[in-house]
Amino acid sequence: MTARQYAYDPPVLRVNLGDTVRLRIRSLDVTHGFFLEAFDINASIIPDSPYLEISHPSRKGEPVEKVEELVFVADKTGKFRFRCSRVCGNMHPFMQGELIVAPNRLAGAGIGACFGLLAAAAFVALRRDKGLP
Amino acid sequence: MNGPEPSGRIDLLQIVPGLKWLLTRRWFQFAVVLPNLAFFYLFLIAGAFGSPVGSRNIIIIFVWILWWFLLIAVMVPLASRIWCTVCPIPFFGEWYQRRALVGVRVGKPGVGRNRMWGQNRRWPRALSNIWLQNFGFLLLCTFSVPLLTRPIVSTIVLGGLVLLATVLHVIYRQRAFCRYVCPIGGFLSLYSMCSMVEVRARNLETCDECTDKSCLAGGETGWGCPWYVNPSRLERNNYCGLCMECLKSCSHDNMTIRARAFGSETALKGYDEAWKAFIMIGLALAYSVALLGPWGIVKDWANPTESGKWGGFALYAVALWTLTLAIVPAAFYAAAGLGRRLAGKAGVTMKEAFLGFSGVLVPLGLAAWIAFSIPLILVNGSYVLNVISDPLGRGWDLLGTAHTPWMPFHPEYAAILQIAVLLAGLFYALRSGWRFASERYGDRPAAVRAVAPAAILSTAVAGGFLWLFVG
Repeated sequence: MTARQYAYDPPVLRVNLGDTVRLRIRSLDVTHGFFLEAFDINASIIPDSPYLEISHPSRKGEPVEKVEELVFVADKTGKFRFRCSRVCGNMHPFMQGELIVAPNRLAGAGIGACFGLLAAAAFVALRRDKGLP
Repeated sequence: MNGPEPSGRIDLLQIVPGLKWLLTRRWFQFAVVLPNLAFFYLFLIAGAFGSPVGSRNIIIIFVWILWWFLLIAVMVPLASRIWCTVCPIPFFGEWYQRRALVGVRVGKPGVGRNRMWGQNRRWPRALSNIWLQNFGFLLLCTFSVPLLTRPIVSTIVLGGLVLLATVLHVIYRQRAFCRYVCPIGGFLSLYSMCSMVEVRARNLETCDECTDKSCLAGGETGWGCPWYVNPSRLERNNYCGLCMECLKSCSHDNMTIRARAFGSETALKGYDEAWKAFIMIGLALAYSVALLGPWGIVKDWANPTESGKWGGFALYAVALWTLTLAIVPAAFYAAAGLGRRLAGKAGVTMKEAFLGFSGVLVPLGLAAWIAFSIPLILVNGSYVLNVISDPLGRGWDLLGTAHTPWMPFHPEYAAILQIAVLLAGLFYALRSGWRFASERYGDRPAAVRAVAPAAILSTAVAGGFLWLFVG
């Protein structure tokens, strides 16, 4: 994976629940971050360095670890954002990518709820005397 | 004098102790604008002379993250155009017209019974709509990335609005700028219809019998309505700026503020308002893709001053304008036309159906904007701590929070909140469409057939946003 102002490439990572995710990330311009809050990972991506400097936001005070590869297990499902955590320029707050761990039940439930609401509204409108309030 | 409250309304002036006293003080508006004015000019100075890095400058963090979230997710849904009550942008223009910060002047020349300075011209009839606001806001939003991320651009645009407001106050009577020009006022007018408060007359019979019409023409206790509306006949929130002058000027103590259910009005009165709804939902979609999405190429196109991709920007701009001005309206026109045909009932014109069913975008659009704004504040809110200690990004640490590490605030709840907000918006959208259909089509089967296409389209729009946010 590469990071540049203000995007990651590939922008979307798709994996399955239980997969072990291994990422090598390099920066094409300035120092960037890779903050994946759902998996407690914060990495600095330094240009021209083969290493990532990773820490875990929940474990304050722990020393930063230098690794070549970021490894974690996708042990929860859904769409998770990874964001740049190092101020890298004007659009820094909007630099983010997506990790989608299938099956994405929350998305299915949300979109299904929309159509469920439509169906319920139609049912109420057709069956009850006064319809929707 | 007071008649019974309309169904589902609560007279806040009667139940909230001290509220009536507070809102009828002449100094009230000045007192709430003044601190806002001071902060506003601090932000403009910070934008001009502070760090060029957006996340290190108070104007970007306070205006486009904190203020925006509070405006769209709190102020508008709960308190209508309360922002207009405290807005600092027209302050100098209004002072020029009134030559008073607190008091009221009576006499000529002026407007109504109030002595006012300036040319006091009438706003051109051809521009007495919100088309200027529609195009102005769309134009600003086309350049949203430079505006939202470059402090100096924010200062130029916000400072330019102050200048424009002041010039228009000198030429035209009262709040022509706020009513017809302010790009922020345009969408506030649209979404304030959903709001849970309203300023209305308590008893319409009292207004019928009133001869002095001081809410409109002004008097010794208050200025005539600066927003060009007749407060005694208000039926919608759109163009009431909550300045509270009518509460002060009414000689019969007949104006009040009521609480009401969310989504009480959604009826659009003209094409200008309908297109405002289309523009807003289209922009919410475009921002969700360009700013919150992961696609770097779209960010490059939206950010041409830095990426240099002007060709991509042209494509982005054409896509944005086509989406908001043509594709979304065409979809709702088709839905309204299909519903009208399915209902098979004469008597409802195409314009009525189009405007009626476009009203579903009032609650749905507001929900889409709130859903868009939730991750913005959760993820970037911690920058507030940095900039309150170092507003110009110059290495100060006034409150000891300048070096607080960036830390998203429970972003894991963003998806759940976005789903909940969009479902609520869809519920109110379906209700809005059903209300229009049942009122205009009479019998239930015809009403269901009439609303069905717009309801399906609304559901698809809500589902599309959900797919973007959590899919």
